[in-house]
Amino acid sequence: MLDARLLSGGPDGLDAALADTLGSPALLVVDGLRDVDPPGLELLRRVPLVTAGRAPLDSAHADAVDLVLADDAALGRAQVGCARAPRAATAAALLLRCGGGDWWDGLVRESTTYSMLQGGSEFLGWRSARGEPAAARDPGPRVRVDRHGRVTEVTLTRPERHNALDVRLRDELHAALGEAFAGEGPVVLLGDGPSFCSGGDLDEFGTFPDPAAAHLVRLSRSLAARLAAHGERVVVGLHGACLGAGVELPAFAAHVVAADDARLGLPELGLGLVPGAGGTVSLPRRIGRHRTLELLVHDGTISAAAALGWGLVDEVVPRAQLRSRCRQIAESGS
Amino acid sequence: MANLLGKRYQCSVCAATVLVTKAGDGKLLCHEQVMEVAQAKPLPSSD
Repeated sequence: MLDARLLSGGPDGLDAALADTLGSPALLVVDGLRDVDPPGLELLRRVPLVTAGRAPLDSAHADAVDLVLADDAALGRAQVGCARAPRAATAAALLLRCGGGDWWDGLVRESTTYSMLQGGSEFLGWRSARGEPAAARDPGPRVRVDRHGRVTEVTLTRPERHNALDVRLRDELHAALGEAFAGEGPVVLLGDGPSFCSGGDLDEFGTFPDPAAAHLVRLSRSLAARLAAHGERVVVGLHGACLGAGVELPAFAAHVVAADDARLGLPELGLGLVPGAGGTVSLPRRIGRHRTLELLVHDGTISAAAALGWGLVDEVVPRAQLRSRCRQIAESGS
Repeated sequence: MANLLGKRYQCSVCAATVLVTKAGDGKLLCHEQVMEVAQAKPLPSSD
């Protein structure tokens, strides 16, 4: 907790107050934020901690912090989330704070932060607890491409693993999207089985060669880059578990339809990481950086209805109508 | 089946390779067989 009066005397007062903190606790709640004047607010931008103020806040004061806490329950969730992985939480806040601008620049910043954390103790601790990573062994194609007139339909076909994104799915989807976007017409993205995509395949996490090489691989075969470049042509249908990449990639699309059973979340903090599939670029564009960070520190998922309220998805339909509704939007443009 | 800009196609008989610099329809033939698209280089996981 930081008393807002410490912000009124320039950077030295703030430095003295924060001198003993190094990452933990990572959450700094400014008590009395709404009374701070612009020079004091400016100091907060340079604090390497997750900063928060209590609602209600006008836009100038909300802009000065990373989280706007609606109530004590939100404060509790923020404390738990930041304590789970203080360095990753802080890295996420700093990354989102310098967001905006060109999407490629945003992906470069995100990948840099992600690789940095891959070399850190929080991810290492998660990996040690989980055991040896291994490449996926289930055979069979990960993606199916169908054409219906002008519409290209790309479907993820790893239903027994909830379409978890392993290396093979990454490469097949990257190639399929490349071919779809090289042609004309709308592109619909869906998933077979119980879920659209449960995120990166955790069994494979830890098989990256080293963080420096991983940074280049990530940017060389970026699904986020494909979707960011052509998002205006894309309709995504979400259902079941939509976690990590399963919510980050769809957020680049012009139209996101969610089935009523969709649950959306960002589980990366639990691994000591930040979103790595473009979510720090795509989600703030739809829901802003405060809600993006809130979703990341939140331990769990939000419903399709809540996602609709935030603008994370554009409409909610009964599960049985998901595919037909996506086709309808692709064919008619609305 | 269209030939895609930027893709490489190989002959399975003599390994001759062509790079498509202008996309179009039609078949690329070598040794009387349709040339196959070269697969993207496998890259490791980044996770």
